[in-house]
Amino acid sequence: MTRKQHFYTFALSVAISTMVFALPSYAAKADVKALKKATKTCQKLHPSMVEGCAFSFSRRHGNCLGCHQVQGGVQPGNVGPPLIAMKARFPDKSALRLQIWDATIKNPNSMMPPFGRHKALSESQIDKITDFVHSL
Amino acid sequence: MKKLLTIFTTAALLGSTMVMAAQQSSVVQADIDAFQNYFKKRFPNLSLNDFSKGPYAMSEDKKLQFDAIMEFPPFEDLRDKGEALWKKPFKNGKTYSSCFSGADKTIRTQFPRWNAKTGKVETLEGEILKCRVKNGERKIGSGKGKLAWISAYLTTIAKGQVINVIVPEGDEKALAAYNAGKKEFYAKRGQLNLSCANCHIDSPGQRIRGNTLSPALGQITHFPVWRGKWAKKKGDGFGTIQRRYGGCNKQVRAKPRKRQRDAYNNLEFFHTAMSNGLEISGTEYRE
Amino acid sequence: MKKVLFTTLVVFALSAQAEFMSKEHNWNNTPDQYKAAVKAAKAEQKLARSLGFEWRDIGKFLKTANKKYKAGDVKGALKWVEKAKTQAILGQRQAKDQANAGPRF
Repeated sequence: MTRKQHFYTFALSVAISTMVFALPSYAAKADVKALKKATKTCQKLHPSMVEGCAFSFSRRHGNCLGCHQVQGGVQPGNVGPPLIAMKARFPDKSALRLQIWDATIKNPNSMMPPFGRHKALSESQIDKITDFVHSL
Repeated sequence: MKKLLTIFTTAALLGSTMVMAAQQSSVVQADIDAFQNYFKKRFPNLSLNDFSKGPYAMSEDKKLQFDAIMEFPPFEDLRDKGEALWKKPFKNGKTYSSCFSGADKTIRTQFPRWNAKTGKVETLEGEILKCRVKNGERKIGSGKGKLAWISAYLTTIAKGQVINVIVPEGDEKALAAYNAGKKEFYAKRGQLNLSCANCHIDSPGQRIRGNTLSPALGQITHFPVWRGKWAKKKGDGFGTIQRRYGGCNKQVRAKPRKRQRDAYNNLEFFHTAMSNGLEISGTEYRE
Repeated sequence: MKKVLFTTLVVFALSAQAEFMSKEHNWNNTPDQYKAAVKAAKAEQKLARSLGFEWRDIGKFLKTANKKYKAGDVKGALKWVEKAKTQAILGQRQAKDQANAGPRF
């Protein structure tokens, strides 16, 4: 085997083991199921941001559709404002991230769960959701 | 002499009625007025009793569905079973009625009530459970099943009775219980950081996914309810108001309280008082 | 000769490192450590409950931890205990934040 091949095998094994260790051991079965379902929807709807879309749509993760309309999202709630023209509303992406991380900073009575502060989502999940929502 | 006697008896009568009907705490009355005015302002087209229909008062489509289901209620058999249970004597020959006062149809609106002797709130379901124990019957579940059927029967025959929860003026302990219930209602809780008020005061009529949120006003008038959702799970579809509290708590990822203990009893005390003046609409269907 | 020296050195270095790592490993993941962590988490859970602000899944997390512990995965178990403790503390903070909650009309 060449050196290059060795490198690929190594990288692949690292990637696989990270996936194996990071994902299922941490999440409950129902979470995985919900995420899978959302991923399927998102592959069609938002193929360039499948992961961020899936974490946003999954009922056991962001569940944005609980309260917000999102393009392509089925049976959304309407407690919160529709997620459209996000770049205009949040020119600064970090402000959007903070809003998702803890909406009560801006409005203490906000109905939006403080996903980051209450650790309902991981930091990397919030990053991906922010990217996705900012693209809407 | 005759005059004196009249004065004396009148005074005695007046005195006794004053004991019977304690005056509502002025603090609580102010809360009730503010609470109800908020809803009247927000939904000017609804009458006070319309609020009992919850989400069905806010959407024509939903109201049609509701009316169709209520034409042949799926819970009639169970409610009839509740009636039979209510009337069936215990092993000692007594019936449930022996634990309560007044005509059967007035029992539903006597609760929740403040018991100054014990310094606690008493609920209808709690008293039914206590009644069984007092008469040597075995314990039954506190959220659904037989208890809910009996309570559903009492709620059905109470249709049209007016809710009138009294927090006696001057009773510090009663006011403290009421305030504890009020805080339970307004405090955000659980991982999702939501209070009862966030959904049922701030957002009634709006939707969480496909579910329309009901207004807090009038929520109590039709409990126990028969829910399609509960019928799909274990059980028969019936559940008490405190079972519902537990469900709400779970949905915001808070640990539910134990039923028929202080926390939920106080909440029920506050929650029901806010609907003072509304009529009991009888046991109903809900999604 | 050079080759032998090199090999010996490598073997020595590796074994030293392995020993160091296993020591560190044990240090963080002993049964005592686990039991102490559970005790601490349960104390926080109890406090959150007494304030009326316990979250739903804390009990489940501790159960999951116990399963992992019994299966020999102390490290994995500790992760769940930590999660339970974090949520209990967040619940207590919520109780503080909501101390003056009331109507806004």
